[in-house]
Amino acid sequence: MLELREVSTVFNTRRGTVHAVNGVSFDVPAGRMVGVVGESGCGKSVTVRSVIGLIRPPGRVTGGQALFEGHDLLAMRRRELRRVLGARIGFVGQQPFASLNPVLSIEEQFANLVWAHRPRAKRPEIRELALRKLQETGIAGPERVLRGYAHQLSGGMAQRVLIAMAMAFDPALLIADEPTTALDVTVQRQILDLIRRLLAGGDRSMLLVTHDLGVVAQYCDAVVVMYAGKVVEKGPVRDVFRRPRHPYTAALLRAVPRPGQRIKGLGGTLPDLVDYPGGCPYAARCERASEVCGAVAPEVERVREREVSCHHPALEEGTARVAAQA
Amino acid sequence: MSLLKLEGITKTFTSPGGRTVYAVNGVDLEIEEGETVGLIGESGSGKSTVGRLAIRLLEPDAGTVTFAGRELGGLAPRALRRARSEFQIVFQEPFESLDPRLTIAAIVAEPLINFSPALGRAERRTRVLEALEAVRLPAAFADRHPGDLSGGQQQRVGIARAIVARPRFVVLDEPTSSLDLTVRAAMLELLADLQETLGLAYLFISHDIQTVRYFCRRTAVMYLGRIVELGTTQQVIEAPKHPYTQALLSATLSVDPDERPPHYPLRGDIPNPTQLPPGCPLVGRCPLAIPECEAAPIALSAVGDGHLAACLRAGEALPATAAALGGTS
Amino acid sequence: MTVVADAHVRPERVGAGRLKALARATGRNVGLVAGVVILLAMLGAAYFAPLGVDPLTPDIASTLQPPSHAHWFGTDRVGFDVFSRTIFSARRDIPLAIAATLFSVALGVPLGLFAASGRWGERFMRGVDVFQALPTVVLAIVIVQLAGQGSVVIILAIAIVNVPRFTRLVRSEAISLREVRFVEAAIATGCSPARVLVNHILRNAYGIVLVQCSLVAANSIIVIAALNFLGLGFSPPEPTWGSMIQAGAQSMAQGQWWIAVFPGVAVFIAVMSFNLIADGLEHIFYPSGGRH
Repeated sequence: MLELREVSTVFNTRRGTVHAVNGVSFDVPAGRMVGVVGESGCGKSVTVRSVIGLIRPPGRVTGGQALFEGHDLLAMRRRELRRVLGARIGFVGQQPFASLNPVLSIEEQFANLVWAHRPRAKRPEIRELALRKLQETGIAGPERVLRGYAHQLSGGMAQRVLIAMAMAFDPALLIADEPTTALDVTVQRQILDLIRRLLAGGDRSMLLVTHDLGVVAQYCDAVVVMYAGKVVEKGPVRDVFRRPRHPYTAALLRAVPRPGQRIKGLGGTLPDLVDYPGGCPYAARCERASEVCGAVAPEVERVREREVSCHHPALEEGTARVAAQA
Repeated sequence: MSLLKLEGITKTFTSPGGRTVYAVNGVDLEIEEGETVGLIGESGSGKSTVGRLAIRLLEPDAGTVTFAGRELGGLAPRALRRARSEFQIVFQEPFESLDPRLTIAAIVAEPLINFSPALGRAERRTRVLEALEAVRLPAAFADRHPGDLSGGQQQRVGIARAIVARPRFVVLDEPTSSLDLTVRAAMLELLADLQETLGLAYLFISHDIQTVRYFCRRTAVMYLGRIVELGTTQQVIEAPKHPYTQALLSATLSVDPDERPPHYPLRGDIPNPTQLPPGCPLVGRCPLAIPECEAAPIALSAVGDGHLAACLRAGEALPATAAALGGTS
Repeated sequence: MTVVADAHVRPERVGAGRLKALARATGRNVGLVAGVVILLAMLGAAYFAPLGVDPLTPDIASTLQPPSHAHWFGTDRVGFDVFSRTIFSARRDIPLAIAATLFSVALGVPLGLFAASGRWGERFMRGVDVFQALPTVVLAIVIVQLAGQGSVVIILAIAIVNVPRFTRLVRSEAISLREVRFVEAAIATGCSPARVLVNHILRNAYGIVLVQCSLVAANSIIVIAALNFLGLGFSPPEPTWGSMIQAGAQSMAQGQWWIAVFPGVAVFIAVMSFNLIADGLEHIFYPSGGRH
């Protein structure tokens, strides 16, 4: 469905070039929900924004491919990309109110969206479409919402409106960048359930960016763990969360408060992305780091559906056998 | 005798439209010496307002706050300022809570200047460096400015400022919610260590149930200005009696992909706090609501040993959603 | 403002590192450096430069001479050397503008803090509104007319006219800073209202006050020139840019442009310098264009 190949994005700042995304590759297969997790500064959000052309100067996508339905999104002209976005790819951002225009009614904003893709669409059909989409999100009183303005909505309702817009043309892929971070937990649950319900059946996929491991654990099929602009580990959610192989993934999971377990924080800070370290970016904070880690960037090790970039990954049953045979 | 006692605390604000908003509506809460009480709630629940009322950063409209046997409402401004050395606060926004034009040393020294004016400059510097060490910040940070520090480091400065004058009680107003997961874990470790070495009592305000469960001995749950459930953390989180607590807990997402407890959804969003029903604030969203819920305020009543809930149908099971959880795999 | 003198107010010394950083930022700031250098050059020339010709004694033999080797900027109808008088005028105009500005800061800042606090503040501001609705130059003229001429009167007139600018600025800064989280933190750590005011609110507002100072100084140059143009400042032969422009204005129509144009250019340069300084300061205190 969506294949990222060695995507790199930099930001030119006064201090130098910040390597925010550094050769990121992963797939979002048809019919799957893929979560990208990591802490602030790991490049998860910049990665998806690169894919959908939201990087503006001083940022620049410097390389890689993002193949979607046979076309490279990164090589597309803006005009072509706009035709794909909104129609084949839906996007939901973090701040619902920042994404809505405060001076246009919701119906007007729906109309603008529809006209961008179907310039000849008539008012009644737009209205009919908007009502249907809003009803699907389970919003109370869709007619009233349509006539109203953003400030009359609660955060949860605004996010429902944006989801309805993102789903207006039944996109094959929904990209959601921290869609529930600004919302309360009870509302977050409703919104995530809604997204899953809308995507259920057929081959629709989702790429979900979040810092919340619980969201990934409960709503995604596969997970991509990022650190300092790189993918450190990826694979099926259950495998990765049950038996993390990369020490950073393990550290993330150890930091989650759980009853009967002592949580552990992580010392140190992210490496400077201007002066990108030569070896493994996690080496300075890693309990398993050896000399080689600081000097040589680890290769990607692939075992079945799982991948890990580490010189000293935790062993998995399969790996142990391969190592023994070699 | 408890260290801090809130009785019948009410605080209203006036909305821009001139309407009265009940931020906190008749809250009673006690905190013992050295204990940690968690205060859980979603936005608009009034939990942060309770934290500010507890240390009189805000004046209550009604009710009393008693700290170590002294009613804070009766203190003159100067006496209140002096009393503040015993209760401090750590804010949710690490950067905004530090004066950007002061050095870290000047920020941490401020309570000492105010509370111990007799302290000499050198002595003060020593105390500041001790406090920085206690929050595990290098002494070299003393002469930097808040803008030079990361979010986690800024929050450590906020904690150093709170403990430098050796208080007995600290309000922790979402101290970790703006921090990354691994930084948050380190911060909780630090707060636990400080509590042990300094014998602090905490009011830990949070929207994150997992953190409260991990960190607090007792827990209060707030919804729209009222405490709806209160008890030991074990009672409240493992055997919740109020429908709101049950719904809130069931909305929490476990990081274990195989742990999928049932979900008890509430209807709709949190209502506007200017139009509260006279009775239970949850009435419009509660699947168990009966006509009696709407009529009159519902007081907290015992549902177990030291376990209180404000609900006429406390302990009854909520209907779970039909939709099963889990990914498509 | 008696509260400011509270015994508990003991702000910590600003670290040396901060001053160094400020010095570094200043060094990189071309506009600020240019503004300061030009102003110092104008003052230095006014006081120390060997002008060759006495600006206060007219050469009756050569009146209305166009710019030449002997008289770079020409001479006026009395025979005064325009170049030496243009340079010499900076002695009066620039220090007067600076003094007037300092005076208005000294009055305006405490009044702004007062206006930000308590219920009298609101009423006080209504009075300030009325005062500020009057046009600056006209008001200064009225004050000078009523109080008589001389530098002290001019300084006072301009200061009074500019006080509301600082009052309004400081008040709005103080009110918005009062809502800031670190001020709440200061109250929680036992700061008295006076200490909050001095150590947190003023400390965070002084950048914008400095910027405003440069703008007010620039404006004061213009007001002083206007007063002198109207003959309300100093009496001849003491030269000022305003009185020189006034003297040259009559000759302008007859083609003797140099008498008015050169002092006019001097006013322009002085005003520009103060504006450059204001821009530079703004850049240092609010580097990203945003504030706080």
